[in-house]
Amino acid sequence: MDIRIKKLVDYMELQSIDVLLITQPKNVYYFTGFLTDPHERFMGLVLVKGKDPFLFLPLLDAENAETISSVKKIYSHDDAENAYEVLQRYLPSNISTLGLEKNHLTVKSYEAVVDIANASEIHEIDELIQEMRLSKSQEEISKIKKAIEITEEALRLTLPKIKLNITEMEVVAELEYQIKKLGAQGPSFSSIVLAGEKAGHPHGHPGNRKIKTGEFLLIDFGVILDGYVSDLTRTFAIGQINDQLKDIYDAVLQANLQAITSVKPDKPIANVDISAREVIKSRGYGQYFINRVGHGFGMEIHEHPSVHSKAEGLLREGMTFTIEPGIYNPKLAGVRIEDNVVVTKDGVNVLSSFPKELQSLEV
Amino acid sequence: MEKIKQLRTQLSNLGIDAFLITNPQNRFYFTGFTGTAGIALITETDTIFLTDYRYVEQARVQTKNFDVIKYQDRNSLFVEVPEVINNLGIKRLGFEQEDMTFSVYSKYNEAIHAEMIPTEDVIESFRTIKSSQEIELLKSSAKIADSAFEYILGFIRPGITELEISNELENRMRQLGASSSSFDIIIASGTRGAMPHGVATDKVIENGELITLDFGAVYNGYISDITRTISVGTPTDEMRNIYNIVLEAQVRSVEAMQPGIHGKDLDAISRNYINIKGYGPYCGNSAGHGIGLNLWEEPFLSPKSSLTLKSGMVATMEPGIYIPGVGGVRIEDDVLITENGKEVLTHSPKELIIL
Repeated sequence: MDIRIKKLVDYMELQSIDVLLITQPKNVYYFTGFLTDPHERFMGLVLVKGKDPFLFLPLLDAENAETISSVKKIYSHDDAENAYEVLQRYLPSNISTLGLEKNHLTVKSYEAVVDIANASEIHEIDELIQEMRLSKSQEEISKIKKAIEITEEALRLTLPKIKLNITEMEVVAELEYQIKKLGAQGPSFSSIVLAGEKAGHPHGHPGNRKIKTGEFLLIDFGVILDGYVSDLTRTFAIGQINDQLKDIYDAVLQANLQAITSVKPDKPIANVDISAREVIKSRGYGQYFINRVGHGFGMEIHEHPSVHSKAEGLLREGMTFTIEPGIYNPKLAGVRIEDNVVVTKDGVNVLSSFPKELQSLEV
Repeated sequence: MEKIKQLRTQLSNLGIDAFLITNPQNRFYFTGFTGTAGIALITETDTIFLTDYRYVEQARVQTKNFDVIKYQDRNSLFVEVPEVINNLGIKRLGFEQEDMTFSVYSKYNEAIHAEMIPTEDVIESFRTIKSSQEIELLKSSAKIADSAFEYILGFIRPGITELEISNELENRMRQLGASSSSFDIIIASGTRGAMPHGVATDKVIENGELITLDFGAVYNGYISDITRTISVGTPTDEMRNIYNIVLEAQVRSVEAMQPGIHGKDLDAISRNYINIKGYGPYCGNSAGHGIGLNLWEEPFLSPKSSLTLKSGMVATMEPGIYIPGVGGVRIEDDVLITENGKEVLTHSPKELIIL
């Protein structure tokens, strides 16, 4: 039996769970190798005590699932049926404890599932799966690495296309074209390309703003490949920039390097944020570093751990997260330098390798 | 203001004195806010928009008729939002049960004094009837898809991969003004055509294969969704026959689209026709679905459909035949229901194109 599924089976035994239902598509992928977005239709991996696990999904995904899923038993429902009623046929009639994902099921699906299962007790399994997914396996890390390689190559190929008066949206289009040509399934989130003062908003939207000399261009994007994501930010100077902007860039770069140095197993997660924050504060920009230094990522762009100054818990081998300190002055400019790292046995491995020294683009 | 008024007239019917909008598309539809975090609260007298530090400025600009209140971050959400609700003395608070997860609901329910009343399809039902402004955006979105299809015909040839086709299509749509593709583009060639959701792979296109191209654009938030099946080289007699059956089923169904017809009956037109022609077991999905801000919304045109078409609705019509091991055909248009009938928004040719 698959080692991950075995963990679920052991957990069911330990907690006396009769039926366990996994519905979050990425979690279904984690346990079966089959990735799909069923949209409004119902899909779940179902474990019934003492029986083989089965995948329950919309008919139109069944053929694909049969070839790809490691869970070979597959039941489907078509659009004309009530999915919950069909599911009921495959469940035992006497369920006392039902395990499910409260963080994923909407109130409506939750009520429908609880209704057909007729279980006397509901057991939340979100934390168990979150915990399992926290430390990445070697196989997962190599998938993440491939996603990062494509990201960096796409950035390299895009830079020569950045010319005076090109718009932020045109740069986004070029980046996303490149990542798909390189084999990615798509961007891992809405690509962010912000010029000049627009980069002073950490979550600004790319638009028709044209690129001018003497200012920064912030590029934050990532790809999704084989279900795993990357998330990289680099900030470039367009032509020559003044000393004030150079100082801002250097402060962020030093904070990024300091934060990376602080990553070690068994050290507090919060330290990573604090070490970057101290650098930026000491350079006089403390008020402009207004968000957490990083976030976990893997199959999703935002996973655990959340790397902020009050984060609880310790770093653990196999955790993957971003390190992305920034200085955001909405009236002037914004700089962010973001890397992807994995905690190793005795320190850290920086998975992203795109150069970080200030680079001026000749436009 | 119209939408707020419309919602207020429904509060008593729903048995609530306030409504909480959390679904991102409903939030955009209702407030114009394009950020990713925010909650709209509408009572008989108040319209409040709650968001975090990242989006306060943006919310003030975009949500014209709302008072914007800031909450600190994701963690304080479940303290600060309930406080606002409790201070207003709300007794029965409607929420969107198809959007809110059970764990979020549990946290709110603990801190909010009002009784929380699950609702569904409240804002969605407003959204099924498109305004003239929305119709213009949907037309522009369909036009982008049509132009991209015309362009891609000149690009497809034996020897290239499905992925190369989807990349080229997507890039073309962006050049034509789309902010993105409206979903993962489906390019299903040869036997892969049997997969209704066969997203493009690195499979190479071969001579004599049919290719199903299912794609669309997002234009100012509004989507298009078109499918054409074309042939590279001469198709087999069997595939040509299947193509003609799907085409006839699709044309008949589009012809029948008008105010007053039931979604179930529309679905039955193509299903029955395909059945009579002997391909009943291979006609899997539903005949169509509404489009707008979302790729899948009411009216759903399926055997389970519960709606009657009305003027202002926009839906796809996309019957298909899928035979495992052999291949498949689907043809899809976007159709606006008008007072007197319909207007087809996608104009790409439907006769079998042989490259």
